[in-house]
Amino acid sequence: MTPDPDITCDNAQENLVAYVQEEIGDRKLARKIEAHLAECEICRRQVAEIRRTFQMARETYHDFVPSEQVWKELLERLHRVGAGAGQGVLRNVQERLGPKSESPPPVAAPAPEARVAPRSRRMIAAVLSVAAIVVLVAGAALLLSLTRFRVVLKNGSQVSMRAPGDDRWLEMKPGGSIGVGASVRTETASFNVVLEYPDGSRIEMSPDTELKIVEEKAVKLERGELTADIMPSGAGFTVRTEFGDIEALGTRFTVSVSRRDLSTRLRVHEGRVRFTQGGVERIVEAGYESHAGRGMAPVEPRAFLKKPLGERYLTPECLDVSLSVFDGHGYRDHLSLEMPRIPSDAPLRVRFEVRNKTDRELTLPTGRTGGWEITLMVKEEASGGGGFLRKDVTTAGVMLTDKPSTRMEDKEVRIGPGQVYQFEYEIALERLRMLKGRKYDLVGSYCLVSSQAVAVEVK
Amino acid sequence: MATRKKTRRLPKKRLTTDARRDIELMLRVKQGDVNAFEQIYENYRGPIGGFFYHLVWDQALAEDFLQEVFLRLWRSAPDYRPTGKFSTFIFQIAKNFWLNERLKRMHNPRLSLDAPIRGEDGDYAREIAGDASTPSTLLANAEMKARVREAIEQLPEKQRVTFVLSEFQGMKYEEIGEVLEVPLGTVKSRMVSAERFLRGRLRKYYAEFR
Repeated sequence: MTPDPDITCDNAQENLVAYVQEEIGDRKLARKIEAHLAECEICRRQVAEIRRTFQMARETYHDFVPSEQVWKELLERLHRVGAGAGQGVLRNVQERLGPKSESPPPVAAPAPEARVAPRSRRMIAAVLSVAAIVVLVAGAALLLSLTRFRVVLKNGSQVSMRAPGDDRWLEMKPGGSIGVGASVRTETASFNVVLEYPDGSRIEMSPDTELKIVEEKAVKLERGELTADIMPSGAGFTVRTEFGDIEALGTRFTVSVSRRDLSTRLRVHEGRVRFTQGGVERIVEAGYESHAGRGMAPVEPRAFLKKPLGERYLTPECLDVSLSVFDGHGYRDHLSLEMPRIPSDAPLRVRFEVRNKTDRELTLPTGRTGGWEITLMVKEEASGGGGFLRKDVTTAGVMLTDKPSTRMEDKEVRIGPGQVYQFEYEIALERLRMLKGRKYDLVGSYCLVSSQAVAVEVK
Repeated sequence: MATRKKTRRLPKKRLTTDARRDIELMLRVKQGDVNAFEQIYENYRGPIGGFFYHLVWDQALAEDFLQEVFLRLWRSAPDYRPTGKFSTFIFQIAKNFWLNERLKRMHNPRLSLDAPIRGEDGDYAREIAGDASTPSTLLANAEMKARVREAIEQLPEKQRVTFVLSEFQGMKYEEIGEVLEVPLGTVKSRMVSAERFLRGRLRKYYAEFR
């Protein structure tokens, strides 16, 4: 092979580090460099030196594993700061911390009525979320209706409002609230802006969103996105948009208006809503989304979550899953390998058995809508100071992950009560070759991938 | 392909976690799901903690920083939009935290991050004991290791972060560019400079090394 005219030592050298790190994206260039290396002693020596630098650096590598304490403290701190996301987080954290820990006194006490609202834990959580919450109280001139909306916002978030009949936008300061006829606008950096109704219903405005309160139970979304969390008492509440109206039937949903493709998008998280545009009406259920445009009726609702898994989430309580590995002779739940002698070409077969422990039929997703993610964890046995040191290789990065879902058809697997579903999957051993000659244990682990499912992980 | 892979990059902290699953988990965190948050923690405590560890070489400090990053992740959850890879997102939080922390500590010498490298603490000794049985251990003594650490620590800041992400976190240049918000070419040239710098400092140990 003759040296490539394009490659001189100079421009080869610029690329040698990337070459050693296997970061030459351009295959042609990689080939040219290789051709140059074949010819050039100096550059070859360079490559050797670069390799040595990296090898030396690598010797200082430390497999970082934090102590258990880090997570425990983190959980306590989450509890102290309250929730960021709202949604019952506080309760959730509390459960995790055990009954002992009491809710800390809020820095800015939420208004008393917030506490008595039946479904308001969520809201309290959100109120607690920021140390300095500003509750805007009404300026008398702005009150046009008995229905008042408290605007709760994160400190530092900018919100502007426009009174009815006025065309000026005024920045909302502590000391304001709004009534029917007013408009509210959030800026690009205004997060967590929430309008609260007296019954505890909430409208969360995304950044860069504008809405107008047109009636007691109706807002017009001019642009941007909102998520409405409507109490049962708020049934009939409507979000109007240029491209269709959405009526809550006791529910939680997100609506966004896009100027770019002139459409309104709707996602329903809980309950159901009625979506009307151009005289066509569609009922959209939880887990479904739809959209409508100018002169375009709402489209057939489509699931935006992966197919809901029956009525309940799958938890370890309803499924019993075991996994075994075929080593060429039989199935074992545990497999030791000595690295230099890995079976050459035979793929590793992994068998799953899923037992339905409940008394009803369960639907498991497979294929693109969800599926099993199999991880064979390679546990490395390294003899340490005194005894065996076990390294969990998930943290060392040696994982053999493969997803049957990419090869399986899109379908559901139904498992009757008490029944067992079994399937096999092959994992190529290609990646094992990266490991150096030591002893490893393969231990199967898997989890269920679906946005609805609680991942089930068992070792 | 295989022929030129004389020295494979170690499969160290490569981000093997399924990207789609991360995003789904984070969307659940956005909804306030602590269990999902814990899963993200499980997946990323190694990479994020390791990132800090290789910058400060101190277990306790790396743990503190790890915790801070996850606290920030939690706080940012309500505003999370799945616009890119989750790993990029979380490493950006870590990077920003690190930049702030450095600034803070530069102005307050008592908090200095440039403490001398500890050679004798228990953690370190254990680690070396563990490695002694490893045939691949090339730097047999702690002394040498400390020198290499020192050299890495003395890298100019930007090169150091780039180097740590690439070498210890096993991140691809492209993703490093996204995390650090610099073009691919910049990542590449920082790696070239970092390697030169290290080579200059470490050359004298080459003989002992082989």
